[in-house]
Formats: sequence, C-alpha cells, structure tokens
Amino acid sequence: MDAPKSSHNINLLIFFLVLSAIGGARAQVGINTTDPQGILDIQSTHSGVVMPRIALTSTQLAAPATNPQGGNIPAGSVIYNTARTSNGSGDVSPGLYVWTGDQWTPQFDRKQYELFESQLGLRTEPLSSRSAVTVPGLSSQNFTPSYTGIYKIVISVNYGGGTCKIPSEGNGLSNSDADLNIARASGQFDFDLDGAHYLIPVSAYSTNYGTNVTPRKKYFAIWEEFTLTQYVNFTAGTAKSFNLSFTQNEAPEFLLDGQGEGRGYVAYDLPCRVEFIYMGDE
Amino acid sequence: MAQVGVGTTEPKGAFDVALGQAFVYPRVALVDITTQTITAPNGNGIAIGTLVYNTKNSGTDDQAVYPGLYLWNGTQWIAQFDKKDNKIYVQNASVRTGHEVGQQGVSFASKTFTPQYYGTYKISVTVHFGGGQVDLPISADPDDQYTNFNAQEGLFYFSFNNQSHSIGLKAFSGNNNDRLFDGGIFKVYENSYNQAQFSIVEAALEAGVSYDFELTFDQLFADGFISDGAFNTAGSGHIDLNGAIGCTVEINYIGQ
Repeated sequence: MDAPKSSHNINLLIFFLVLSAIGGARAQVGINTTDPQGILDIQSTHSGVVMPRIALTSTQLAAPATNPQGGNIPAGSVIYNTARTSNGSGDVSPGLYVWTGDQWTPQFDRKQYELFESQLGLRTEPLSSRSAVTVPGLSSQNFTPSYTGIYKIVISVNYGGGTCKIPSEGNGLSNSDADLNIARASGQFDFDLDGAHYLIPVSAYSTNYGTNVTPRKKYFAIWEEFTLTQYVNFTAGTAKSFNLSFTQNEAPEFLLDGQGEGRGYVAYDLPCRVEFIYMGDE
Repeated sequence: MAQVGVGTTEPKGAFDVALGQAFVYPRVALVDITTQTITAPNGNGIAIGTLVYNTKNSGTDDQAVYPGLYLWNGTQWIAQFDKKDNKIYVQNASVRTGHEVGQQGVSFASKTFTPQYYGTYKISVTVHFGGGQVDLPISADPDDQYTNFNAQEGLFYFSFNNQSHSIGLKAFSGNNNDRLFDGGIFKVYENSYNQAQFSIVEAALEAGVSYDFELTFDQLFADGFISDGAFNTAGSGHIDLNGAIGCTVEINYIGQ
C-alpha cells in the first residue's frame, strides 16, 4: 500500500487549488479547471481518478478504512478494494466498493457462467451390482467459483431405452395375441457435488412389433430430457468437484435383458449438461 | 497539467487519494432518476459524469432510486451498482392426485416473493406429472403377451399477482405382461413422469411489496386407470419429489 508521504504539502496544494477556484461562500475544487461544475471537478484527457486502494477483509467490516475524525466511516465512503478473500461469507473481490452504512457494497457487475457438456453416445446396461457408470465428460470435473454467494446449478440429462423384445404370440386365443411390446427402460442419474447427491430418476418407452406385423417397426432411443435446477452457496476460490453418473434398472423386457441392442441411451442426440451461474450474494 | 495527490506527492492520476481513508462522495437524497435534485456551482444543470452517493429509497416505479452510487448521464441518474434479485422455490412434499378432488396445492416452504427493485421479473415454473396405474387388461389366456397403455393428464395452474396461468401435462402409464419374457414377472409402469417448464414475465413488480404465488394441479377423470384415477388409489397420479427433483418456481430480476 502507498503510505502517506507528505500530507502537509498536499494539503497546501489542495488549499491553493481551492483558493483559485472559489467563487463565493461555497467552496469547490477544480482540477485543471477554473469553472468547476461540481463540488470536485476533475478535468483530464489522459489521467483518471485514483481511488484509495484499501485491502478489505470483509464486506461487514469498515476497517481498515477509518474516519479521520474518529467514529464510524460515513455512508457514501468509496474505496478501491485490492483484496480477494475466501472465507465463505462477506467475501470481497477487487473493485470499487461503497460503504452503505452497515456494509461494503460492490459497485461493479459480478458475472460467472460455466457450461460443462458430456460426450455423445453413452450406452447403458443394467449391472448385476447396480453400480453406476459415469457420464463421459461430466465425471470428475471441477468448478471454481469466482465469488462467494449463490450459484444456480442446472443439470440437464436425457435418456432413452434400447430395443425392446419382440413380443411373442403365446398359445392363447388369437384376439389376445401380442402384436406390440411397449416397454419402459428406467434408471437414475446421480449428480454428486462434493458428496451432496442430487438424484434424477428417468424413464423412456421403446416399442417393438410382433413378427407377424408388416412392416415390422421398432422404436428405441426415444429419449426424454429432464432438468434439475438448484441454488447452492459457494465460497470464492474453493473448487467444487462434481461427477454425473447413471444407474440403469433391470430391463428384462429388452433385448438380451438390457444387454447388447437392449442397452439404454444417454446423450444420444444431445449432450447432458451442467451449468453454473453466479446469482448474487447469499 | 496539474494533478492533485492526497496522501501522496506522486499522484498517479489527475486526482489520487492514497490515504488509509475512504473517498467520501457527496451524500445526496435523490428524488428520482430523472430529477437532478442538485445543481452545479454556477447554478446551471449538472455535468455529465457527476457522481453522488444516494442515501435513500425514493421515487416510484421505474423512477425509483435506491441507496448507492449514481452517475448523471445527461438525462438521468444511472445506478452504478449491480442489481441482482434471484430466488428459487422448490416443492417440499409429494402429491398423489385424484380426479374428483379439484385443484390440489403443490407445497413449498415459502410462497412469498418480495422484490428488492421495481421492475421486470421473469418467473420460470417447472412442473412434472406422472400417471398412476392403469387397469388390468382382460386376457383370455394368461400366457399371452399383452400391453395396456393409457395416458393420464391434468392441468397445472400457477397464479401470481392476480393472474392465473395454466399448462396441461400428460404422461403414459402401462402394464406389460411379459410372462413370455421374464418368467412371469408382471410389469407395472407408473409415474413415468414428464416435465414441462413455462415462463411468464411480470413487467412492473413493486419493490418491497410481498407477492404470493400458488401452484395447483387438477387431475382429469382418467378412464382406463385403476378407480378412474381417483384420489388415494393405485390409479392416482404423481407429483412426487422422486429423490431431489421437485416442481420449482424461480424468480429472476431482469431489468427496469
């Protein structure tokens, strides 16, 4: 930080400028102007106004800014904060802040957006252990928040079933014979955010006609998309790890009981997506 | 050209305040965004680029000012701070629906929104609905494979600020007798929920005013479902939490 070097001399300089600019009982200061348009009018085409550069420790603490007359600093006090803190609440990041009487309020626009997308074409099959498969591109990822506060997380997943079994006529009366199999494939996405689990159960239907139907059609990968939106609190600078996985349920109605062509589809046409959006202070 | 340093003999700009103290802006109680309120020293209008700290809430509707730094752009006072106002409400209890009970409420921990600023808010409502269990089809021979599918439907109603918005949502349920597939395990497909989202824009919400919303669902008569989809039967529809997913109402400030 710049330490005061010679405030006495500086005060003299200001005094001189004030004298040169005073028009009446009200004092104005003009810098590079003898006709100030406000209480302080700074004319320059090549230099800016350099605000007091202070390293704040919290939006909730006026210090280290001080009132030279003692007591609290007044509302309307403005500084350029040089510090970035990451304590989880009241955090500050470099920029202009104004003291509003009980806290420092940033005078700049805070935005952060990050999109993660999966790879396309994950085939899923029911596992005997029901253990989850990770979604490529969305597993073991990290997001590092720039600010402390509320982030919106949007998790968009899609899932479609594989090819279901060809129905069989059986041995009953013809008016109850099967010509069409409509089967549901289902499972559950698990978005794991540093140990917090957000579950999204999904399902989709597939169809297959009997062999006596001409032309015989089968429909699979008729995926459905589901979106989960959450607001969570993050701390600036603290990386959050996340992992999207999927567990498919047993699928005996599907070819090979859900193996091979009976496998389900994740991200068949459209990637699964995870978005992080900064929304504001807690 | 002259520079002024406060607390420094080497000002790094036209005006450099380098003390461990803040720069205190003129504290002004602005009337509203188009009233200058203050004057230039010569009594004329104020110059473009004039900055003040506004001390109070004042003005109404799109004229309102809030505490913070304001800059005069020649026409009006422009807030220099970041106006963010976002809130989400998440369904907190599962609902089983029924055709004969009329509109059923979807519950939230809070259903009140109080805008911080006057202006336009976008309200995004995400709903989901899954059908109950369909009737058992009558088969002449239990060895035959058959499927029976029906769609159950209803209307969501979202009311906010004395306006009601509705959206219909349907979902298939089914039975699949795959005795020939799976050694006799009968498949019942229910709560194969579908999700829908719609957005409404509220153009003139008032700061500090509490607005309540309601989200209800009216399931229609569901012939083909157990008990015709009556309340608290196996044929009742679902607006379940299903783990973490629930209906949500998100409200975002998008500008004046």
